[in-house]
Amino acid sequence: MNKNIKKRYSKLDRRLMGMGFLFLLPAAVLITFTTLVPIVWNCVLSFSQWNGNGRMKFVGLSNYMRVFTEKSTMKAIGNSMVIAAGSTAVSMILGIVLALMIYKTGKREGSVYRFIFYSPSMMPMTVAGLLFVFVLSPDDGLLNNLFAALGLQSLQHAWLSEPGLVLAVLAVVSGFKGSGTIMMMIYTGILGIPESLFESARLDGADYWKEVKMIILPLIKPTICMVFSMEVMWSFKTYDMVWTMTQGGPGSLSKTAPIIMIQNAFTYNKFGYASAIGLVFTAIVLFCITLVRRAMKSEIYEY
Amino acid sequence: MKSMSTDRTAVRRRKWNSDDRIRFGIRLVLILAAVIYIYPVIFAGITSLKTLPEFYSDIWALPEKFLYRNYIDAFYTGKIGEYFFNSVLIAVLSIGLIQLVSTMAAYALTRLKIPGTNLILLLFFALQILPTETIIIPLYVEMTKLGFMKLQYVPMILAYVGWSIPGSTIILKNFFHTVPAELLEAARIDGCGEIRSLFKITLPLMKSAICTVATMNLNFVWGELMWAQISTLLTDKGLPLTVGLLNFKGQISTNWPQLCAAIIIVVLPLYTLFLFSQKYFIAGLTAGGVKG
Repeated sequence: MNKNIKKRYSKLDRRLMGMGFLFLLPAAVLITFTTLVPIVWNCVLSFSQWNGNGRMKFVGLSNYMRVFTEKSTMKAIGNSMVIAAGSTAVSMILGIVLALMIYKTGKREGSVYRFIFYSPSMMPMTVAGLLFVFVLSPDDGLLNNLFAALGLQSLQHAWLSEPGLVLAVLAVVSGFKGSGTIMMMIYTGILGIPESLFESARLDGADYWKEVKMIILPLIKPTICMVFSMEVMWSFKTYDMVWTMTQGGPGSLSKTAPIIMIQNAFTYNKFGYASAIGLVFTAIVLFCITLVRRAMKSEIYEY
Repeated sequence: MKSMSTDRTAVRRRKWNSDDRIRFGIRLVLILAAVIYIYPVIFAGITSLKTLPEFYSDIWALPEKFLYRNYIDAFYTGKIGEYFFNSVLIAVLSIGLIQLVSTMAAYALTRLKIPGTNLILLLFFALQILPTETIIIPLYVEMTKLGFMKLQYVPMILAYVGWSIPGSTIILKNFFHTVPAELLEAARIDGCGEIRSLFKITLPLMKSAICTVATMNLNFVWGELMWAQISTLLTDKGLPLTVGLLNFKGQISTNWPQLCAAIIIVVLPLYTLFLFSQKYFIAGLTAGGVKG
């Protein structure tokens, strides 16, 4: 009797398992086709010389050697990291400060601010990029004309074509665009703090700065850590912004790793070399993400 | 006794005052910041209603009359309308497919006893953070060999769906855990099949999860540029908005009023959409790292 029941259960289990595999099949096929096969292929390509047509030639590690020795490629990877670091710093600081300030205002008022500060983040990178091409344009742009109107001609710059400025401008613009998202997430984190904690602090006569320092910041540390590691991940996606705003220019001063990679593949037909660049860049990004996650993990409070 | 109570009101009044002062200062900074954040778009809106000579004569002036010529030019001659349609089509099909496939996968991983579930989830998580840079070159070769590149929309939809499944599945799986297992077992005993119990019982309980995942994917699909550009290298048909906008900018060079009209055409629907689905946008942000 007992055995019988057991058997029936396992039959049900087996039927469920079969259904399960059937349900999982479309996902498995699509993921294999669009991600797994390309990754494996990318590894193979990175060890060969191939012009996109004809036969592949195995060349061992020479593509990787070139990645590390070719100056323009190393410079592009460096640019990616500079933009990533700069935009992460800008968006985290702006996002956290804005969220803390919005929290102090009323509910209705706060929702207006949130909408406004989130609005750049709503736009696709391309649209935000084009908008800023207009804003930063040397003669017709909003920013330079604003400086002119205020009599600050000395501050006018050709923002996107001065060698010393272009990377910083790209970092600030993409940080500015990302700050809305950070603000939203931090704000949601602050809302999760129990009201009672504030009440006791207020009874003790704490002002807002003290509240921020003693209650809010320590308690939203997990949120900040999560947001930070996500922002680091996003900040390496520089292709859209840079391609829209400068196309890597002036010259190739603001080329980032994805741009160099795509040009090597589709302009110079060096698919093997491009794959190697892609893999090295991916390794660097994953290393940074892991590093950040590690560093953040030990810093989590419970309440 | 009496002196103590007046003391307390005095203390309270002083505290209120300093609090008010902080609030006032904060408000001032916030309003200034808000102007910086929103003014570029407003300025683009004003510029889009001007003619080019009007713009050059005084960039700060308001438009002389309500000029919608730029919008018509951008929409028809600049083909922004066509690109918009393409983007909507790609987004709707991709999001629908992502939803269908990842819901099934998440259901299988939560409720149907698949061996190695944790291993599969770990793989999904790893795939989700992988930058697209490692994928697109071989994917281009793969799709060219299979002849997909000749088809309109297909390369983009396939890639977006494939890339978004892991992340969406993880989020949906977390939500599936909130549906009580007893409910499904009861349905099973009553002879309800798996497909029916997924669509009739589980999904109606997960409306907000579905909206969250959909808005998250919309964000990605709508803005993606790199793959969109590469997969349409050899064609000028079926371009999405991102690629189309850049082409348009290339054609008009520094005709800023027309560019502004194009930007506003793209931005306004997004703002409207956000106003109505704010809740899901925010949930989508916190639900997990967005693939891209």
